[in-house]
Amino acid sequence: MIDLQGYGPRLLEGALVTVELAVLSLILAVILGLLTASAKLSRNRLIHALGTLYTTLVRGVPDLVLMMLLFYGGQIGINMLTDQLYYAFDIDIFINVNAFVAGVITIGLIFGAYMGETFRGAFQAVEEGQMEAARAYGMSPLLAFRHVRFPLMMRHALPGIGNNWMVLLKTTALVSIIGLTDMVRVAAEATKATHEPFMFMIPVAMVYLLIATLSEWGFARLTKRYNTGFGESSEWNN
Amino acid sequence: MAATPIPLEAQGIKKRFGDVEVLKGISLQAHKGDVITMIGASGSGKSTFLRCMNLLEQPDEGELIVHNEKINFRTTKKGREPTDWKQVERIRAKLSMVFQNFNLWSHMTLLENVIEAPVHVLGKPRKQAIEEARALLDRVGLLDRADYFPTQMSGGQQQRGAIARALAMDPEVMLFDEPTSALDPELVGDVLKVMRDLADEGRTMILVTHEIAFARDVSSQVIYLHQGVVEETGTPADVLDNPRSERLRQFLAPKH
Repeated sequence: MIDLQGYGPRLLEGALVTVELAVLSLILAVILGLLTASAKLSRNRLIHALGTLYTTLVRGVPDLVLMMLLFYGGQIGINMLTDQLYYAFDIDIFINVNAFVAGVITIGLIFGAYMGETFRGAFQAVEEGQMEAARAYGMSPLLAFRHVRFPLMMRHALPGIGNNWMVLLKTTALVSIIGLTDMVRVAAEATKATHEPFMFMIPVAMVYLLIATLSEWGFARLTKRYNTGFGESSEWNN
Repeated sequence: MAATPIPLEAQGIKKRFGDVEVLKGISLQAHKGDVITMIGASGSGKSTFLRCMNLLEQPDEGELIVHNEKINFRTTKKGREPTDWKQVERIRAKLSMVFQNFNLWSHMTLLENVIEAPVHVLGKPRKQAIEEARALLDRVGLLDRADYFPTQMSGGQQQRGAIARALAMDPEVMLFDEPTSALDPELVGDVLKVMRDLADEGRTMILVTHEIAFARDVSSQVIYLHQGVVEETGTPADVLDNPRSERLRQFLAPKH
């Protein structure tokens, strides 16, 4: 393969960072999304308000601003905290906000809010009778969620999750701003040094496209799996 | 001498939704082998009462005793609720419910529906559960539909499948909530036939229905509810053939 003027291996490392960042952020976003959906459907007013505050705040502020706030603001906050520890208890520690962790947390937080909306709609789309049967047969809330609500909900949530995932994947490119060496940053550096934008940006675009295409395939399989039991009824029914 | 435990006893069940008192103190004793049928106009509270039995609705007052085990309640700011939800889950597993709209889990095949609660709630070995499920499906005439999904079956098949799911729990009492109301008329017969078999083999059943002829055939006791009160109760001959109140007479009169 072309060695891309010696930038090949670094670009590959950058691509790996992109994938790791995207996957970890997705996991965090899904967990936060499920929690947020539960919160927004909760009858407890305080929990409901917290859920609403979170989604409103996150969805109303640009991703980049949030990322900077969390990365720089987070560092300052942690420094203040460790300073307090030092004055109060004579404990001297220094915690450096790791750009990768900050990236995962920021992207996870942002997309957790979007996932929350996706899951909320999906939760509500599950027919109440299905959960009622689960309760009536003695299932615990956790069992009923795992075996009934979740699999039934996924059918409605998957299109939204897939959409969010595609946007999330591309949002990872923002982390180059806070100093994380993903493939976009490597390509940008290489372009500056060589004045050959196409040589670096086209491979980068191809990698994003490749990940996106693989994801489409994966989501199509998941959709098929969570659609079992729905549709195609006519050819069986008699 | 130790008395045989009564499968299900309800004492003075009251329930209100907002300002409306739906149940005004209803009691019932289901002895082993009893088939108790509740009839009444819609809004009389019969379904709500049935749903209080397995705590899908929380009664505001009254006691429930299932096989000698009394359900514990406590009163909180939001109202009365069971003290111990684990106890509720255990008791629900002994009271299988058959719903008006079947409520088979739509992402599972019929066989998976039948083994789901025995395996995951009762902790039965999967292999044994499958064997028993197949026998039950055979009994309700659906063995050839074991691998079908609910959407691939007719309403009558789904309801018979739901009865197999209920039987798989080997319940103390079976609760039927208008099991034939959502069915096309020509499918009602098959479901009633399965239920008649169950009554004949001595299953304890509590049934909410509009099928008066069926109630007359299978019931050991009929309860006529009106606006949350037991208006008449007794044997089918007492209640259905010799109604005392004008209201019940009108209720039973053939509709044109």
